[in-house]
Amino acid sequence: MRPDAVRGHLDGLILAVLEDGPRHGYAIIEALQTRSGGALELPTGTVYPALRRLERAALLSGTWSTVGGRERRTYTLTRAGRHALANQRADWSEFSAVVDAVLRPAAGRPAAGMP
Amino acid sequence: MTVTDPVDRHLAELERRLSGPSRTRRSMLREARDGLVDAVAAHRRCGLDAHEAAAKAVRDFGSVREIAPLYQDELVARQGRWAALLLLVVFPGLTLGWGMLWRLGVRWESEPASDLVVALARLQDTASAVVAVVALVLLAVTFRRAAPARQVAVLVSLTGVVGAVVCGGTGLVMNLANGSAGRELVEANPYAVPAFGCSALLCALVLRSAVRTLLVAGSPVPTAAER
Repeated sequence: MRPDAVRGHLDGLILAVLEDGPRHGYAIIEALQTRSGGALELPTGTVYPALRRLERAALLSGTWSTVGGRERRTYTLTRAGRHALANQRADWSEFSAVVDAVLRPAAGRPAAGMP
Repeated sequence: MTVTDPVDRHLAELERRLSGPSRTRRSMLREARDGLVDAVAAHRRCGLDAHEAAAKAVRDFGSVREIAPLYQDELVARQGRWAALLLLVVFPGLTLGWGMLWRLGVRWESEPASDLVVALARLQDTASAVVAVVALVLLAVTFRRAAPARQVAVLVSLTGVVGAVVCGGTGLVMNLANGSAGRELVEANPYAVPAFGCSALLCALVLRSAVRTLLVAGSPVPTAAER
């Protein structure tokens, strides 16, 4: 998948992979790649500024902590982040349903209303 | 790792392109290094040698021209937030502080004050309140992910400059307009010199922060052709 296509949805994707618990930066990148089946070709360097942006917006909280014997910056979804994720999911469902309805081949569509 | 290591070279180049609050900058670069070290380790586990693994981690990270503007945008947003917070503390603080000092006797004895001094005092209080309100709004804007970081930082800077010049200037003119009363106040009251000094220092701090924020907000970003 082209990086440009992903970029607008990166914030939502990050919130989603943090839903089941705190992760550090590289673990978030690995989770994005695993959950997309390796289809996301985003430069990994774009993820770290996105994490700081989400932290600045109070959707994530980031702290330096020791993970596996190393100091890592670990991110946790905040209550506002969970709320933003729920909104993002609802918006995406609505958007994808509309686009899907328009893109679906004519054969799969219900009959048009013309007499 | 040696200085010729691709990870070190890449991070040094990224660091060279960034300006902004040093603590945030260091933290972001440290996090990028951690991520690259993790990526190198992952590639080594897949069978690449050390140099190939480092080169692949750097390629996957993205070019500095592509990544640096994203880091810089975040640094500009953080700088703007700190500058707005400073305005929000300094200007109401000066108003409250001088109100308290006035009640404690740090004031001119040539009462009643002239119309000019009364008008300047009102202008100073109003300017201080307006700066605080604008700073609060801009601070709130920095919590929006899509906020234009550079424009917000420039607005914070201009607000700070206008606030410092108006409040500092009116304070100076008020003392000059009161003639010898200002000098008598300094001579008679031991709190007067620290109070004036502290106010001047805070105005200078606001101006310094504004200039720094403007410089960070104006730092060059690679053009689309360069990226």
